[in-house]
Amino acid sequence: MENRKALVTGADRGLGYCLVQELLQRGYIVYAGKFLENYQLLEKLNDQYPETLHIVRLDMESEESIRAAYREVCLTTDSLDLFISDAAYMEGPPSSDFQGELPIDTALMEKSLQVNALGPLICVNVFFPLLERGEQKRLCFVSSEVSSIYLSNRTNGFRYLMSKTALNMAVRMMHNSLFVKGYTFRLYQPGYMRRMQPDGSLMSRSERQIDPQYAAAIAMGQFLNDKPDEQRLEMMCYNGLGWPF
Amino acid sequence: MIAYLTQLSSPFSQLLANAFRQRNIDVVSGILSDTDTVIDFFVATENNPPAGDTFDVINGIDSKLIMDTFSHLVSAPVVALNQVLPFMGKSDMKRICFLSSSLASINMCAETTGYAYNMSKAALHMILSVAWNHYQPEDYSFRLYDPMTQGQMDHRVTAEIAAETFVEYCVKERAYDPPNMRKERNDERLIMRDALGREWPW
Repeated sequence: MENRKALVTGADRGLGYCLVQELLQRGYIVYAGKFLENYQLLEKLNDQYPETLHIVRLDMESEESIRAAYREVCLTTDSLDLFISDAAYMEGPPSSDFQGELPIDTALMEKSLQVNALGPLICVNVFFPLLERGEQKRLCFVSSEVSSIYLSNRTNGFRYLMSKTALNMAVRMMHNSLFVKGYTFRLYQPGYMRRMQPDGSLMSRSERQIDPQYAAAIAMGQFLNDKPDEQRLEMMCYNGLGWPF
Repeated sequence: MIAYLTQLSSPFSQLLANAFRQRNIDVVSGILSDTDTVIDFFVATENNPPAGDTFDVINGIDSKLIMDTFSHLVSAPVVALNQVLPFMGKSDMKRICFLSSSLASINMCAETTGYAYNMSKAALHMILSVAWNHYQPEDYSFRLYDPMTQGQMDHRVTAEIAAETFVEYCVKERAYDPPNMRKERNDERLIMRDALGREWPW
């Protein structure tokens, strides 16, 4: 049987990187989106999987970069079975606080929306010809525990939160269009993860944080296994519980 | 009392202004320079879906339209709210009012087009949720309202009725609820209601 093929965005580190590892171990040919120049973890992994790991330059803030990545992927495949959107922008100064010390920075709000919500939507549109020829037709999006309006308890710092809520809406609308065409969806809430450093070590700020390897292993089960109720779009937590919008 | 409207240029915002004035509530807009001004109502009126928001995920995404719409429907009114908040602290009303739409309900959205509007308003709902968490303990109250002048529903209402019912919704206090139903009291959680009085899920 021919290897299945997956595209993973935001694969430089953390959950995205661990998802790439999991997929390679399962025999997938993986196109791994690379953005961070100071992380070389994918290059090291390439030594282990020279035939099945393809590192692709991919900046989710740039539509042109997404189109360039599409052209590069098309050089070695004419189909994709699995799409995993993991790239996220959550850096920047605290400039999305009401009455905060800094004025609200609308440029950073828009960058957040572009990377976290618009980028995945553009990716699906641009890679659609390859996804159409894939057998699995599964679209997976990494959202966040803080994207739930219903459970919202933050009192400031809304930039990342609102961008992930917008992503949830984009996924809902993609689901409306594509489920009837045979696509299935996963919207995954990985929890609060420890950050992976350039050397692969993990930085921890809280005991609540979970390891990205653990979150990736759980995600694989959710991403690759079929569900009896595929028609239902649900945000799933790493602990297996549904998460309200 | 004074209502601050984020803009007065659109026909709908003029209807809103008239409806406030009919209730003897003054209407202001633009930059507030007098530091003694007390604003009772902040009203964000930006709600029109942009022309051209008809693409879908298969046939092409107009990323510029999405970003422009976000800037207009989210960034601008949120910045305006942040600027007006210091003028609301001395008000007895302290009411923050936004127009939105049931189209932006992630639970209920059945649309395949309208990404620019729906994503922007969904993002706005989260920002308002954060604002609610921050300011509700300081006795601010919120009104998030679908005027039903556009969208998927059959029961559209005229702009005149929508403006009137929105202002009515802004100014009135909500019905008494028993204390043991605290979480169900409308002013103790952020909700979105439409012109027919229905609450929409997020």
